[in-house]
Amino acid sequence: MNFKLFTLTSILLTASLSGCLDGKSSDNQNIECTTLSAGHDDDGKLRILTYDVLALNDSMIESFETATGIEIEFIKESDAGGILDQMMLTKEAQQADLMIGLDNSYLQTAIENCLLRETLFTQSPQYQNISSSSLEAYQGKLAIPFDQGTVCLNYDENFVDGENITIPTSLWNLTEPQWNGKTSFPSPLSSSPGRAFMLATIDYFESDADEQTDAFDWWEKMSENDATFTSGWSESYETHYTGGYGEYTVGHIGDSHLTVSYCHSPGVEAYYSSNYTHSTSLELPKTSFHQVEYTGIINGAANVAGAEQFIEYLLSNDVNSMMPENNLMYSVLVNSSLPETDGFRHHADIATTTAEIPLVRIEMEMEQWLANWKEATQ
Amino acid sequence: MNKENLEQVISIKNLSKEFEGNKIFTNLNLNVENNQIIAILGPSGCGKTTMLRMICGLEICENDSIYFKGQDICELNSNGEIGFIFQKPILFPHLNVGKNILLGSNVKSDKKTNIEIIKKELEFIGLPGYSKRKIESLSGGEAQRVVLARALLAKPKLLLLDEPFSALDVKSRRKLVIETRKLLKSRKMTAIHVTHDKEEAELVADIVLHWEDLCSQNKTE
Amino acid sequence: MLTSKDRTLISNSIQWTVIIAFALTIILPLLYAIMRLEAVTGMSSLDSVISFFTLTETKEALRFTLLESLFSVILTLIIGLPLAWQLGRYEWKHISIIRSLISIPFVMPAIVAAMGFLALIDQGGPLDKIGIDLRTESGIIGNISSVTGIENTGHFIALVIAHAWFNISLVVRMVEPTLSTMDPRWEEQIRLLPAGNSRLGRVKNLWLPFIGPAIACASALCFVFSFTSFALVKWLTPTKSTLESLMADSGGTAGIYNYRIDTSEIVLAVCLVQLIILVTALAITSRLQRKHSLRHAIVSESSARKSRGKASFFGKAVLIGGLIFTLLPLILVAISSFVVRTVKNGTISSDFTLDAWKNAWQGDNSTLSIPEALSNSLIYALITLIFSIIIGWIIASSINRLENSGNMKLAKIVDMISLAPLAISAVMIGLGILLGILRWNPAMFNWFLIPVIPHVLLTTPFVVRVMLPAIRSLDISFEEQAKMLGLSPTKVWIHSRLSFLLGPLAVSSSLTIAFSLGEFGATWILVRSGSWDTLSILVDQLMGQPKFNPLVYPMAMASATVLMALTFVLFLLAEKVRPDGEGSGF
Repeated sequence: MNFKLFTLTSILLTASLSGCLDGKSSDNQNIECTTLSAGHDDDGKLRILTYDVLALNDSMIESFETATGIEIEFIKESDAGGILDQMMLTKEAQQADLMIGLDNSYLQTAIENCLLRETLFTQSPQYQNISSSSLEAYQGKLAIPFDQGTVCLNYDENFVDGENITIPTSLWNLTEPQWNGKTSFPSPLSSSPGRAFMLATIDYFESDADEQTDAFDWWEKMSENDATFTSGWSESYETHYTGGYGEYTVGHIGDSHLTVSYCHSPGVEAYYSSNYTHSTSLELPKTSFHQVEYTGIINGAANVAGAEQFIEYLLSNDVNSMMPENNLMYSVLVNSSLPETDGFRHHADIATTTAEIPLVRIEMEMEQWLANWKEATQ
Repeated sequence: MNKENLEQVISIKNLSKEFEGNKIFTNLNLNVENNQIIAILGPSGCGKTTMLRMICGLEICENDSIYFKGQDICELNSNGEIGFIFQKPILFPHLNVGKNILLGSNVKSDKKTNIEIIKKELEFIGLPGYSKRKIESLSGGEAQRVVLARALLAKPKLLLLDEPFSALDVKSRRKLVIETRKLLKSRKMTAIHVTHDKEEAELVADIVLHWEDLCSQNKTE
Repeated sequence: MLTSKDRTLISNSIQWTVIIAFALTIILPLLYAIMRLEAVTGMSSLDSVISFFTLTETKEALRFTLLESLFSVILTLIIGLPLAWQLGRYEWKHISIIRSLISIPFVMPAIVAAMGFLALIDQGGPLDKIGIDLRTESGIIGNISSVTGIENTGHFIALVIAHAWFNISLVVRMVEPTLSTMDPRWEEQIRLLPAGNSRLGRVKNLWLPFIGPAIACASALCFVFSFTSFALVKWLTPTKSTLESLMADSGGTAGIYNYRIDTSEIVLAVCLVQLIILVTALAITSRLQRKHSLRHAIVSESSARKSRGKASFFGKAVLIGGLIFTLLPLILVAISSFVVRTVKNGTISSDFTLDAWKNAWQGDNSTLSIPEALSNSLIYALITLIFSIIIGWIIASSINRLENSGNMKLAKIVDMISLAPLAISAVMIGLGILLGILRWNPAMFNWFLIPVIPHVLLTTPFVVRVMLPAIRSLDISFEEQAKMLGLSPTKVWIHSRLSFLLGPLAVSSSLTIAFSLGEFGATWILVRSGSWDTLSILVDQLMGQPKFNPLVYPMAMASATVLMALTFVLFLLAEKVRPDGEGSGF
């Protein structure tokens, strides 16, 4: 039995190695991707692979369906990581046509694995209305940005008031006893804000004076200081964080006074609570990360035409300018800003210095970083 | 096939039966003629039941030993030509008395005719009005009578009875034995009735045969 | 014209074809999945098992799984034995109703149980009102937590209680009949002997030998079910992983070359280790079950009960407590579906409203409506039913046939094959299909009926378990008599087999539909998004959504209520048809 298994394994291994050696070297930017045939029959429906993107609310979908006559069906994953996983899973027989929600920390992997195909949108006049900051990370034809935001640490001013708990001036403060069990982070393995924040910490610790320690030493200390790790953003923000709307939801635990969210999240809180919030962002250089979310046509889509139409719709002035209200994120269009209503803009914070890591480096080292993170937080 | 053979409903020559290396009986010879009721008298466990089961095909068949109306039994399919009455009355509990009886009829007919048939049979066996009764409500004797009616309705060429009255009390048994003979005779049945009770054998049969005369027994000493 | 020899040959061939096809459907996908994972990770199975004990994640998961399973078994016995004792020894009016009620948890979908216990431990829920806060761990639970130093003790306690809830019916169903048919004179006599003078003596010399095997068997099964529990772990202890939930979380990215190899390594290692543990556990269980089925029934149940009379006040309290425990989580699920928490001017108010039901019934662009999910569930369940009943019946018949012809070894092998899916957890079966079949032929992703395969695999063992004793007890005389009457082979089959098996058929049908409706682990692996969601998956999906929409939570509860009601109805039907007095379990 052992010999047979060994032989079988060796054969499979050799076969797979030979298969994986072509076109996968990571220093080769221009990978030859072939356009795959449709994974399923085109029945006229547009299947969108996404997570709970709020912008895709009923009225928005219905007006698209009415205007174009195309029926939409969603394949919903729990988060951005799920979107990438699903595309990888069904690579040879893609179930969806359009993906919405991969961000700049996941995008390169999708591109390297030939999961996306080129869209014609870059030739459309509306493409010129996209701000340069949104296009900074990626300007190609495989993905179009549709919203953006800066991932920040948020803390609850009711508790972190300088008396009970001091406002951190360095990330190392969070490893002190006063913060024990009071922080909550979404996991970079599955959550895109979580991943963005992890990237920020990598840059933060690389840029600080201390050359002995890196981000994962800090994560290890955080784990020892009983930080909570959740799989998704909403669990961290809603169930654990005391500063947000989670207070009023069923199942709220409320044991954390600091968490990962967006710098403009306090603005969102105010927007929904008549200009009142006790949450604010942590002003600390290189602890925030500019996140851009993308949409793109999946390689192997059946309804390519429908997908193109939806991209245009998502990036249209009407829809995209409403990103703050409908999606609680910034629009990608030039000259767009947050509304004044109920202190949305007033309470939204703007990060002074964001962390930066080039997209290519993200793709090269992400798997190793995730392994390190896992190891550090066990 | 000559005329003499056709008269013989059953002809058994030199039949033997083994079970797990032990011989149950050897050299069994038996001839049963048309319209005869034969009783075979023998102690319990000597193989009488096995012989009956071999005749009707419930046991694995031995070539060239048992002939039914001139044909080797191994080449026949069971099609109701040989009826069998078990020691305990086998009535199907999901059917009432009437429907159980009707199972014996292999002629398709409409509801009205069926009711008539059931009525007739019930009267024949002395249980009028029992048609809708449930099987569980019958006494042992009543049950065997229903079994008998069903078996006769199938109009078999040969009826085998395997100690059908052994479970009844003496009084009921006597009564039922006499009735059974009456029923069998009135339908001109050929039957082999197996029992260990001498009185029963003498009451029911035309001819009483002794098991020891029919075959050599396996002596276990 | 077919002779009976021909007919036997054909039916035997069909039986063997079905058995072999069934065995292959269990083994092949799993084998293929393991091979693929070995190829992707570059590790052999042996290396993988060794690496299991080096990875912190897997070691932690194993530790937690063993811990919760053991505690679950202990708690199940603590709650279940007194119940079985009271139920088995004394006279009770409406005992069949009581037995039925106690068995409800076992057939309930795991996700419904998860919702029930979430509602139970929630802030403002019944437990919280009496000072036991398992959710946020204030008060007593917080103290226990800080004393033991175990993180999230409250969640752990909630999980263990939930498992006990699920499994008390196993203990009651296995121990109670043994108790109730014991001759009371045994007890009287042993009291007079020196060995039975003390309570301890009686326990040692009478009770342990008598109901020991039944308890051991129930414990082993309880261990296996707690070990492979998924939905409950997912929702009650979200920060912890068991082996099963670890596999499920990692499963979505496993088996892909050069992508998240770490998940492939985990899935391979966990799968192998869990297989080893489960096969061992089930081997022990089948050994114990054989011991247990040596019937000691000497007296009729009713006379034994009469001699002991009615239960004391304490006994009645135990039973009522047990019944409340059984029904409370389910009642809470139903109630929670009508309660919507809204925030008005900074204060939380709870309103009773049908809004959640209305929303859930309509669905929207992103979530399936209850009727749509329900119809998916029912379609899967009915198709599963057809396959499981046919396959299960054929397997049970062949086991019986082999036993009758003296071929005990072969009969045992077929019996084990029929039980094999239980040794493979639901998630593993789902992963086997995902990695084994789907990666090999991705076009099958389009196949709506894919979830039927794991459903059939997971329900057939129960069909066999119910049908086999019934088939064994068939009196062959009926078949012989029917043949002698000259009935056609079809009619012989109808009157001598089918009509006797209608009861067991109805029971196994109900169980099959109920288990298919409630199946979560395998379905979750295969159908997590889109229009194929079943009701179970819908509940999970809804609960996973952000809750700033206050309707989300009661919508999930509404879906769970529909699932619960459906299961309940099916269960009642099965109980009605189950022959009385046959108190023994599966």
